[in-house]
Amino acid sequence: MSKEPILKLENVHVKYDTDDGAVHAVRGVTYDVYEDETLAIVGESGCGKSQSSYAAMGLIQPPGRVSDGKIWFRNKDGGEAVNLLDHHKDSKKMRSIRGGPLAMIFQEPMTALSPVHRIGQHLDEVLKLHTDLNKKQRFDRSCELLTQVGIPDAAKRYTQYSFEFSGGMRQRIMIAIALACNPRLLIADEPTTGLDVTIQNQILELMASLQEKHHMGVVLITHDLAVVAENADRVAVMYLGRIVETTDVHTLFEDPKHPYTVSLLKSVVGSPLTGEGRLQAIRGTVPGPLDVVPGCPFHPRCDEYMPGICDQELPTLEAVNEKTCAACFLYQNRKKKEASS
Amino acid sequence: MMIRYILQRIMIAIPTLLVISFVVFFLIQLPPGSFLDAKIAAMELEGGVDMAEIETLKNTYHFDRPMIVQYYYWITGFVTGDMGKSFETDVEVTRTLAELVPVTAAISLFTILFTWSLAIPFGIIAAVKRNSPLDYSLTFIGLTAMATPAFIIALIFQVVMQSLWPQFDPTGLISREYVNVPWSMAKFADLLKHLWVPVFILGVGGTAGMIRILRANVIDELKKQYVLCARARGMHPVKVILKYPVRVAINPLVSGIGSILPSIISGSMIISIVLGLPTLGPRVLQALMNQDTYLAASCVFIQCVLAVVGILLSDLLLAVVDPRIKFGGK
Repeated sequence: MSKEPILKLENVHVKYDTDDGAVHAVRGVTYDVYEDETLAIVGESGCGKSQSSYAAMGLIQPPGRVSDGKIWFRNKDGGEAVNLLDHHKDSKKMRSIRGGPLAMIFQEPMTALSPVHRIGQHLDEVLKLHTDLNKKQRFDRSCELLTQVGIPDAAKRYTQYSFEFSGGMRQRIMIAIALACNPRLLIADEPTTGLDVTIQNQILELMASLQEKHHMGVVLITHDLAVVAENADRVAVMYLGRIVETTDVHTLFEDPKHPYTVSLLKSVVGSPLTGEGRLQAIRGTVPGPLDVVPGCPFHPRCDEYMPGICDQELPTLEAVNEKTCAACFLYQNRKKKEASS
Repeated sequence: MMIRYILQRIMIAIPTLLVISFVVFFLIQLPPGSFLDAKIAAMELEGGVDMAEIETLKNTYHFDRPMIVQYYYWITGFVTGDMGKSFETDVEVTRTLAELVPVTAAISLFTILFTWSLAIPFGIIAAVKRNSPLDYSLTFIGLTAMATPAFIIALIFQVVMQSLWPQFDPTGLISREYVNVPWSMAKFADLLKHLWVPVFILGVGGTAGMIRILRANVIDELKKQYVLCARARGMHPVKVILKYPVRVAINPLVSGIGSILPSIISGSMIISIVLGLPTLGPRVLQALMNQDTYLAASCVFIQCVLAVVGILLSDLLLAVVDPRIKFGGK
């Protein structure tokens, strides 16, 4: 593992300007990813986990915008890191990074390929954009990629259309497209959502083997804790646009700190925290995007809610021990003391 | 496989056309009386009925025979290229067609070109810049143009042109000095000079409608995942839009080619009357009113043939542009 991160997000904010006011989808997210490492970003729908990675890719579309923060991307090991936000999202510079060294795969592989273009045209397009290969070389490389992601008979499959492939096969093709230009970092946004469980496993195993081969960093966005347990090295838990806990994958399951993480784990079948009893649902609902929650955004649903503290101030992400950072006053002694005195 | 499909479709088209031809003939004969009765009545008014002339007409056109026999004579003649004569003017139907179809087709083709060349770019722009002032103004102009009948536009246009540019004659297609003069480059140039008026008036409504359709189609496609994926590959956003969503959204226009074909020769009846254009539309109307069976039935039937051919053509074209149809995929 190299010492310098490939991708580093610093206090990134994403806002959507709507007629009813600005929706603050990402509220100061900071994380980094290193070579050969998988960082999982976990959270419920709408917590901003996808939006933060879209920000890195320059894929936030109006009325949305990255309103603050820095996104450092290091194209070469030991090279200079570039703040991607210094460049317009559709500038030549950003387009050369997006799809090349910084690639992404999406959920819903069923609609990820154009229904009126051949599979090969998609592969050819990305190679044409990011390499100097000639037509013949691009074809050879495409076939090589298809074979690499486990699609047999590549030359024939190259000329077929997306509707001639199953969902799992389509996601393999998306992976082939993402890997076409040897990315340093792959962002996988719920890559197995909508696929059945056996196919899920195949896809994740494929990603892991390709990661090992190419020494990629991977950002794995998911709401499925089983996927996290199997694949991640480190985990960031997000709630309402903020990271509430970061830790390594073992500590997450053995010793979760933030009450939100604890409740998430309790709501999973087979989790040690659930014990013998019934599965526990998290109390209440996620506040609406325009609702303002004073203090810690999780306090209305929190079992450890401390009146007078949690509804007053926003906790920052601070180290709890050498393994875990959590944004919770339970672990921030200074605040606790202040409250008791 | 494709060839078998085409043959199959042609085999189905033949009985379809036979049924249509019968229905066309039957409907034209349906009103009480015939051209002959009207002719006798007119002769009586003028003073004397020329029985010899009536007999000749009767024998030539089999007026005394049952309708089904008349149909038989007409359709067998039609298939062999002999469409008979107009009862009224005694001119060969084929000659009338040869005279009127080129001008009608020219107007229609230019109208289609006008419609597409405006509707496609504006439809795409309206979709990409949706809910912007530009989109709203396009919508406003479009809905107004769609809601205004073309003959009203024609009348307004005439009034406005009269006051702005009195020398310009917005009616007709050919200047007086070129009427009854054989076709030449000068006459063609003169035709082009007049053509833009009907092309504009006929095209406005269709253009506005097509902008709406294309806008809706492109907006639907822009939301699809594959557009985002193409952007994530680092493609320029403008190229992404032209390569993917527009390519998919244009398919319904291709299927529309079929319905355009019959209208190419019919032209627009009402506009042609208002603007005094020498197209087939007013001539067919006149023939229908006078029960000029051969002329009317032949013109209407030709349009039906073009409709059937057009639908076949657009089905085949759609299979070419949209692989999902060719392979029966989802």
